[in-house]
Amino acid sequence: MIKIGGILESLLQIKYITRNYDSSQSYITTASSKRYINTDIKSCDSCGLCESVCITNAITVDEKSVNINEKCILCRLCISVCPKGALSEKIINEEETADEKKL
Amino acid sequence: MFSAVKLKMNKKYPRFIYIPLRETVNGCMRIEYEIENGKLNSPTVDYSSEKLSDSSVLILNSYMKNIPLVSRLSFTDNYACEELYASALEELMNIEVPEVAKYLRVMILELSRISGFFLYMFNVASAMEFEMVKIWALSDMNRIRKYISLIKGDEYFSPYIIPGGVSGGVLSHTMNQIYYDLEKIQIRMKDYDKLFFENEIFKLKTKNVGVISKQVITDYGITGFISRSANITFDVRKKLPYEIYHETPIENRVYDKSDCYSRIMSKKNDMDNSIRILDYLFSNIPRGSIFLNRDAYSLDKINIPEGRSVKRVEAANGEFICFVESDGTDKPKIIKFRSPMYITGGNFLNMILEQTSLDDIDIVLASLSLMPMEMNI
Ligand code: SF4
Ligand code: SF4
Repeated sequence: MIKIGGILESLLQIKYITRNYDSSQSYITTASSKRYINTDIKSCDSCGLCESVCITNAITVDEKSVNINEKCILCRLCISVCPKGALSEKIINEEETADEKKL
Repeated sequence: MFSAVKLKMNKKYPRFIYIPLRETVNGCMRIEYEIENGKLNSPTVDYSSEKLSDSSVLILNSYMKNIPLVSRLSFTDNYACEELYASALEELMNIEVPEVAKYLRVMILELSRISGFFLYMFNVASAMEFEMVKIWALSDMNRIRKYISLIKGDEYFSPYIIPGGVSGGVLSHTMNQIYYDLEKIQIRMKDYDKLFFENEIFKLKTKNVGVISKQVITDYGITGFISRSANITFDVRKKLPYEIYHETPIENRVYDKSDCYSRIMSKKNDMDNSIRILDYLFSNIPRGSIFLNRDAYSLDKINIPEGRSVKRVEAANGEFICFVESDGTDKPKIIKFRSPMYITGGNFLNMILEQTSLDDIDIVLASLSLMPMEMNI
């Protein structure tokens, strides 16, 4: 396998920096993270509001559970509307995912 | 009569098809034209490759389910669409918005305007082949989008401005971080001045190019930075203030004539105004933890009372309008968005192109900030 190194590598990783502005300082992105909507069933009173706002019909609420399937597009509207604060966004970053895989 | 017209058309020169660079306009469009004395003759703009009437799907879903769809109607002005939809529903439902949420709405709207400015800079620099400015603009646009992600707490097209307020508050240290970084952006603008705005090559390529008279702008009803470049100071934020715009500072500059140069400078002035507004926000935002009026989301509010609402906001490229009509059910009877592109991209653009030489076409298109994807949403 060809390994790119030295000057070529540094050219490929070029950063646009001027005296006035250091663009190397950037925020950590979480694009590599996996996200999902988590349900705290103890707080939920099965009002069904989250189900009524979900555009992809990913949520089904019954008296004992709130199920969110893979159709969820992570618009997070259900989190905003839940009167009991029973829904939240969970993030599993890559390291955790790797650990999970090991298990 | 018909055959005579046809004969006359056949006698003309061959028709060429010009497809603007993807980096000059945002979306798909083509221009058919003939050439006569170095000018474009009878140009016709065609948007048939773009997806049209995105908002027609909104009458099929309930008001609440439409919220995430509205966020996806526009690429640059998605928050303007959210603001329009949320405020129209609030008017129909008679819902009050918490004070903090008004500030946060303006904050995200202005940050998205700054991000739109850097996208515009990317387009303009691409059209003039200022490669370094183009790359800077792209990296600065991403930087602003990162601030927006910090406020929203995610990086996706998830709705932030929702009926009743906003979907989340902002931590004070995030606010401080953005405040100090915006100061750096202001210093950064000196680089742009030196390399671009004060560059004689830029001035030579843009001054007296693509001139649009004040009369034409008034006749076609053009708004936003294009109208301000012709010294028409119409700004929805000041004429019909929404949220907290009645108290925020906005300054207008005077331009010589509405050519490409004035339009680009007018867009830069919009960006300076956004920084001024954000400065005002950071020093005046009230403390409070309530950012959403949950009355908008009770199950007995699923049906929206009968009525009509028309909302107008000043988006990145001009006045964005939304009309909602409710017949008392849970789905809108009529809903229509009208973007600034609907006016800029129609007959007005044909008329401008007729006066443009093929050499200047890229810079003229880029200076108008065309969004074919928003032609008919
Ligand atoms: S909105 Fe909240 S409380 Fe109501 S069903 Fe959904 S999770 Fe439960
Ligand atoms: S995040 Fe959006 S799509 Fe996913 S379950 Fe909640 S409302 Fe539905």
